[in-house]
Amino acid sequence: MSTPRKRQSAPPLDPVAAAVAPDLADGVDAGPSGMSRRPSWAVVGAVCWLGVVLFAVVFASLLPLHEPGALVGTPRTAPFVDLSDPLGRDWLGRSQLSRLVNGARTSILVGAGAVGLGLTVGGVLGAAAGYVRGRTEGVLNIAADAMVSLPPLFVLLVITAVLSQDRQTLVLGLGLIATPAFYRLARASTMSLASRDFVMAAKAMGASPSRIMFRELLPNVIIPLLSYSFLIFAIMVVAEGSLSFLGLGVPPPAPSWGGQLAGGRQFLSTDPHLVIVPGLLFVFTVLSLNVLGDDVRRRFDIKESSLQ
Amino acid sequence: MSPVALAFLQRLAHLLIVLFIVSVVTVLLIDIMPGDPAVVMLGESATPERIAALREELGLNAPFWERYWEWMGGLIQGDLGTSVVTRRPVIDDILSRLTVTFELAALATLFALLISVPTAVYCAYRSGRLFDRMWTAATSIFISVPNFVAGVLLAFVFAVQLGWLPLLGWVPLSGSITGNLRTAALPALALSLSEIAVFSRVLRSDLIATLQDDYIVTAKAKGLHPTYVLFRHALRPSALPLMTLSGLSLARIIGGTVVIEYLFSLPGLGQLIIVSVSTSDLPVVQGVVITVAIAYVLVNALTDGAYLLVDPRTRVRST
Repeated sequence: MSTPRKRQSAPPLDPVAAAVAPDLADGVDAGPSGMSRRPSWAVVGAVCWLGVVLFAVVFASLLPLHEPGALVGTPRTAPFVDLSDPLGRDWLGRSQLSRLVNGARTSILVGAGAVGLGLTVGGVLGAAAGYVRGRTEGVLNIAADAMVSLPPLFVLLVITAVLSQDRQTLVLGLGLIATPAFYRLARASTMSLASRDFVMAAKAMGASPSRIMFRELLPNVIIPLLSYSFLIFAIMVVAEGSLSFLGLGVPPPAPSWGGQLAGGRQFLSTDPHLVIVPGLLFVFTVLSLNVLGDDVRRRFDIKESSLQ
Repeated sequence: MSPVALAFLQRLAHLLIVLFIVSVVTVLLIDIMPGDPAVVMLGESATPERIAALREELGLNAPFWERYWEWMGGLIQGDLGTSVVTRRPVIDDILSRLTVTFELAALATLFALLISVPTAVYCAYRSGRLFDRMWTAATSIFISVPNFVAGVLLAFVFAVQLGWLPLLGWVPLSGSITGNLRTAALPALALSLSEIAVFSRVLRSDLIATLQDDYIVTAKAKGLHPTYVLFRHALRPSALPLMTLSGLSLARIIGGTVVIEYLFSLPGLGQLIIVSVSTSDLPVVQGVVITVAIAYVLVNALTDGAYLLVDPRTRVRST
């Protein structure tokens, strides 16, 4: 048998919480945990990649690129053949680089909007449930349970059918999906905070319940919520990609990563670059968000069990 | 009443409330989704009188609760109405497609167990070594590959480049077992990728903790073979988390196969919902939504229930 490990291993994880937020970088770096820990190469890489994506989102319209909808040359040109389109051209002859840079706007803005919405709604409701308890909490818990008993993609399909296929609807639908996760986290954090001395002190000074909730509890609850945001952001990017891949995201002429992947799929045998390039964008972005999210979560030392 | 029975009843009550809410939302879909079933059935050119008559006949003008009880009564008797597009009973379509989706989910979970258990045991046994680090890094990537990306890339390698497996389509299990497995292999593998990552991580950290327990030291001191100790002694307490994970994975995949079914043209529930949403076939949409919700809730409840039976500690209420 192996010699006993020097590093104290993590306590057995709660499988449910672990499935929600698996311990992503465990074992990648064995350094001591804590605020002073030097970031690992994986985190540096993740930040760099997200920086590139963010740059593309912010400056997409200022970059010297072709119009995302313009037909600029022979369809399905391979990457690096023509240096004016370093990532090649798609099945219609549009610049792949321009499509993907502009598509990043869809993925990232929709994901960010959904996380913001879920964080706000779920956070406030969760803090209220965790502080007020009683019947309010019961009702909200059941609502959250009912929401997670429907598979997210089914909910999204129905929502896009009921409303329309635009960015606002996507943000609304994805935000709805993200809400129960934030709700549960906020409720659990609030419950553990509500018995702490500073809340008692505020109560003793005669602070109103709303003051206690918004001024005392929420500023503390926001930390675990924010540190989980990256992980949920990753889920949102995948969900938006899935919808675009099914042709139910932003309507077709508008660029999106999932749309580029879906369109290139017909040419898998002759031009695999059409799916490999957008596929890698998804993998890099989701991986970066997961690695960064996990790092942030560990720095703030959020216990996985607090999700329960 | 025994604590087990009480815990069971509590969960049952909770489950029923959740299913009630889901069913209300499902019936409400008729009111909120675009596409009047009567118009879909008669075509756009139908006269307003005929549409009104059909609406009356279909009971669409009845008040909500009346429609709700009507629909629930049908559901309990296994009658989910008739598709307004194909005119076939909804329940027949759903049952034939549920088997496909369920097979995919079961196969993907099985793949995940077969791959993650041996690797996690080895990683825990040699934790911190090269293989452990590499596998941990690999699981980070597995969990970050969206299943549609995994599906396309696997199809590219195994169907297009190597030609080992078919690119699209589905052979039913009743047709040919090998043919069925050949068509199911790539989709199930694509679905299992993130489950492999979750299973491996949980099992690995669980095992690392277990391996420091006294009874493992005793087993080693008795001179038992390391493989025997790992698989017969150390793996045993991890059976519970693995069981929960498998249940969760099954439920998650039943809801997550939409994109993979679309990608590989598999006749499952996911494909059915895409088609029915795009053709405004509301009875089918309702049927699929309620079926998936019941399957999802039931699988989770069974997992919980199995836990209660196997692990006495969970029978004690914590609050």
